[in-house]
Amino acid sequence: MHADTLKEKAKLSALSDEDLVLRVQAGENLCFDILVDRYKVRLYNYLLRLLRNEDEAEEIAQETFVRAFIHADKYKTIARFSTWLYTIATNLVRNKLRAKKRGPKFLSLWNRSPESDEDVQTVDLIDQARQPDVQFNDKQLGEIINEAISRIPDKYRTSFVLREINQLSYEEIAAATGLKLGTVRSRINRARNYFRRVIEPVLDKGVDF
Amino acid sequence: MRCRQAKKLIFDYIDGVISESDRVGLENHLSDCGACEATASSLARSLDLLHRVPSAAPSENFNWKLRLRLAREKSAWRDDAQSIPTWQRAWNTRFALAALSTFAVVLIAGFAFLRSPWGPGESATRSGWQPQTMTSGTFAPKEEGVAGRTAYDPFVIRRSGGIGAQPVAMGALPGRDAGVGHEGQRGPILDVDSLKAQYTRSTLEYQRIRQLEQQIEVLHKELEKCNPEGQK
Repeated sequence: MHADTLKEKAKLSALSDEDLVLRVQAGENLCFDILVDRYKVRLYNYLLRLLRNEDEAEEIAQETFVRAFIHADKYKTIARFSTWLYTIATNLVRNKLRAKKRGPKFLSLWNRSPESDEDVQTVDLIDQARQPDVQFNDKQLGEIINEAISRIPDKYRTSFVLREINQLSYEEIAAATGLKLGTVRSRINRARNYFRRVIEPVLDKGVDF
Repeated sequence: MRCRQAKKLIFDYIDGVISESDRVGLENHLSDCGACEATASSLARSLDLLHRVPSAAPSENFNWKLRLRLAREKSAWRDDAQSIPTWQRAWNTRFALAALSTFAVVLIAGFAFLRSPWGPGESATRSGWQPQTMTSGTFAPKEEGVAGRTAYDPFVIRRSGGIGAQPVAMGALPGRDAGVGHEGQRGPILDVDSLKAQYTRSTLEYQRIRQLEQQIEVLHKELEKCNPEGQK
């Protein structure tokens, strides 16, 4: 990258998200690059927890940024940019999951779907943790957590991930999901209980992470 | 504090939005209740574990792929936006469908109204009423009123005998020649009630009407004598 561009980018990095979007609206595309750098990891992780598929998560993350850029002129500063971005992503995920449910279903003898019998899956998790003297590396820990998150029902999972992974406030989650504040609270608390019940066997084994 | 309340407050405690009094109450409850303490501990540990999970990173060429896609989509979007006029873009499928369905509903409702008893075409045909008979200040009598009319009603005479001479009698009324030219029609030509209402202010004219009514009554009786079955 050109030295002047880097210098310009460093200067623009000090601006808030909202100021950057206003500049994008004025045609400064470099500002959008900064926003992408700021949010791509957070957005990707959010989508990965919901979709449990790296390719799909990246695809939806890209689609989210594309839509945010094309429709940047529709952004109003009454909402935070992050909320607006998560709203776009949440809607895309919702459509994706809906399309998946409508699509043809194949039964696999080796890999059970997350929506199948919960008891069996809990046994899987316990079995993973029961291995003696196992020390999980980051990747394994991530897989166990992702597995546990995937077992939270869809309607609770979105709010839960936005809260616990992306650290959004309840108000921001309500804005991003279009739910009432009380509903958001209740869904997050229900999801926390789901998650606790699924992950509890692993914790009970006292496995050293 | 009961366990049910304590389990609700645990979430507020985790979020750090619990009041001081609730916090003290919850901590006292947890020190006494093993089950709630286990739940709170398990919840805190599971969420702590969740927060320790390292975040995953998208592919290294994420930005490069995004730039390519943006360039492609932006140009496609711009071309699309420029090639279609604004009014045509607004006329999207949904709008067109909504407009079409509204038009269809209005069309069906209008057709149903025209075919209904309240429709202008149907009622005119049924009662034999013609717009020419309507003059200012008068109105065409309704068919329902026919049955209740007295024997001297000119309408009844017309229906019963189809008297061609009746317009002559009516024509004797000053300025009331509306009935002329409607011979042979089944519908009413003049309404005595409306005539009365119109001429009560003038005693002279009122008396003349009475005379006419008497003449009509006489004619009616004569007609009955000549044609006892002529009522139909």
